[in-house]
Amino acid sequence: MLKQCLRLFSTAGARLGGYSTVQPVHHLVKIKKSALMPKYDEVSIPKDDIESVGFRPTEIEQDRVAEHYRNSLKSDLMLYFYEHDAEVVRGQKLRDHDPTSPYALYRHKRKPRGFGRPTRDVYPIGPTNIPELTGISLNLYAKDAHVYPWLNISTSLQLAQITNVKPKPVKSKINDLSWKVRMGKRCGAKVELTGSDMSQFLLTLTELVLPRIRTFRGVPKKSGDKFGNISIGLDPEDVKFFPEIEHFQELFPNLFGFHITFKTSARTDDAARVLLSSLGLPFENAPAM
Amino acid sequence: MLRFTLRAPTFTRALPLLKKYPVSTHRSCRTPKPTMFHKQVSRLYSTGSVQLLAKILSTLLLLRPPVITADLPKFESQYYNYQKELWKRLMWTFPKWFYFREGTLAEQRFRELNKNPVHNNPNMEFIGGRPIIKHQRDLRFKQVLRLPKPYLEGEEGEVEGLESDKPVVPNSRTTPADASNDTTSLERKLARTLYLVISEDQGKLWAFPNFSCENTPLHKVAEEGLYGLGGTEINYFNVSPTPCHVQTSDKGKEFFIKLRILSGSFVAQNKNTTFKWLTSEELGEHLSKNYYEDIKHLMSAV
Repeated sequence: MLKQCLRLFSTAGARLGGYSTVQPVHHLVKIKKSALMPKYDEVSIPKDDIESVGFRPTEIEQDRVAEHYRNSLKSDLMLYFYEHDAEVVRGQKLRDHDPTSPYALYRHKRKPRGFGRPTRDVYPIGPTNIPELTGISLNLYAKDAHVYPWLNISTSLQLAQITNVKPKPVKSKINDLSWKVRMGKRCGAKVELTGSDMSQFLLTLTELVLPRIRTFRGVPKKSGDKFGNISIGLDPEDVKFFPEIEHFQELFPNLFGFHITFKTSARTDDAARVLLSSLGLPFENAPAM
Repeated sequence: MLRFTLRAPTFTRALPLLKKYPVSTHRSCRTPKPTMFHKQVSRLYSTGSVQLLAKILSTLLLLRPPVITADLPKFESQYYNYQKELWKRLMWTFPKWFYFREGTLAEQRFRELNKNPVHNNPNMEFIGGRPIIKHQRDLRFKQVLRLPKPYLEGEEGEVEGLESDKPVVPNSRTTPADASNDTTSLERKLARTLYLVISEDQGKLWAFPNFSCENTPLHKVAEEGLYGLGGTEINYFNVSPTPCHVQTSDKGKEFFIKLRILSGSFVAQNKNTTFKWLTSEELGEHLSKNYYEDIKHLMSAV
């Protein structure tokens, strides 16, 4: 009697003879349970939160490059790039094959005209798409590090000293025994600069380093990846002009050259050159003043 | 890490690539497509119209960009100060084992100048809190370093008058022109953008220089007019031949051509001409109210 009463209250009776429509989700997501311990809670706080253990203030002083761009350059660049009745210039896109051919039905699309990669559309200038310097990346590849792995410490230290940012290791992607290159081995360091670190590096480069390099004739005219990013390279003997290294030369017996890429939001290399030129970077074959 | 004194990028280097373009090949000189404006203009030329053609004027907006960093409001400077102190407290410990190798004379002098913090003695009670010592640094406080003077070969003892000994004193942000309120000087208000205004009637009416156009491009008229007004001792940079604003008034249509002064100075060629270099707020006091309201958006707030 009692059992029958209880059965009246249970909800299982409705599902008698049926089955669960909810898919089981357990064992689909791998979870490292040890990482869920309450002592690791503070690791999950984002680093820009002052509660985080890795918090580091970023706005520590006036950024005079950003200020100059915002107050003086931005309006001038918009005026300079303005064209009456400008229209969208379509870039080269992937092309279709002959639609009547049955053989082309599931083929990959043809490469675009020109240099073989799709290019971006260029929109008329407006207040929202004024070219801007978004970042500077330094890439240091040390060929000798394949033979002498201890050089990796020197490469990281050099970049950290110059930029004030902790570098990330660079690893080789290919195997080539004639070059003593092995896949996955460390062979240099790289740094991505944004914000005040970027401004500080740009100022040091344009005001203290480049003017002292005797062979420097400006950023080469051919430099650029057609997408608004301009690169230059520095030789090991140029690197010693960085003041952070110049005053401690005996601590840096091994110096390495590296590549500097100025990443801009400009759609074309010409627009990027105009922007970088206005930020104080000299260019080869620039018109005389 | 070395940090450098704040200074706005020198304006002489601004846009060097764009400075002198061959005018004949510039995009503005290509044959333009017929637009609404052209259609209207050609209609005005037609004999059927009675309406007179509006006079076209080229107005010169000559500006001197800021030379030094902007003046910060009190709150912002306090904010930066707070963040900087926080940054110093969170900074890594100075790696003295790298910069001052053990056993060297420099290391000995560094040790003399920088005493070790109080040892965290487990048998002692600390009233101000127990010190957290890592690598001979108390992690509770920022690390204050005193560096020994560099040793110079062939010189003994203390050397007086070394350049590195002198404290770095930044130049004054105000100039004699600010003190005497000399509005004709280009060296006034270094942190602000200054605009040139002139007066032909001894300072009763102030206006931007403007010139009438007769079959000459607007930017050419503005550039030649500038040399005529202020002499040829001006090194300027024309931002673009495209005007940045058009203002319709009784005189006609004023097209604003934006120029930046890079070096040199404006020396009035005519006896009756007086000129001033003014900030955007001061322009409001010198120009008529309605006119200033119309062109206010062209002025830089800094």
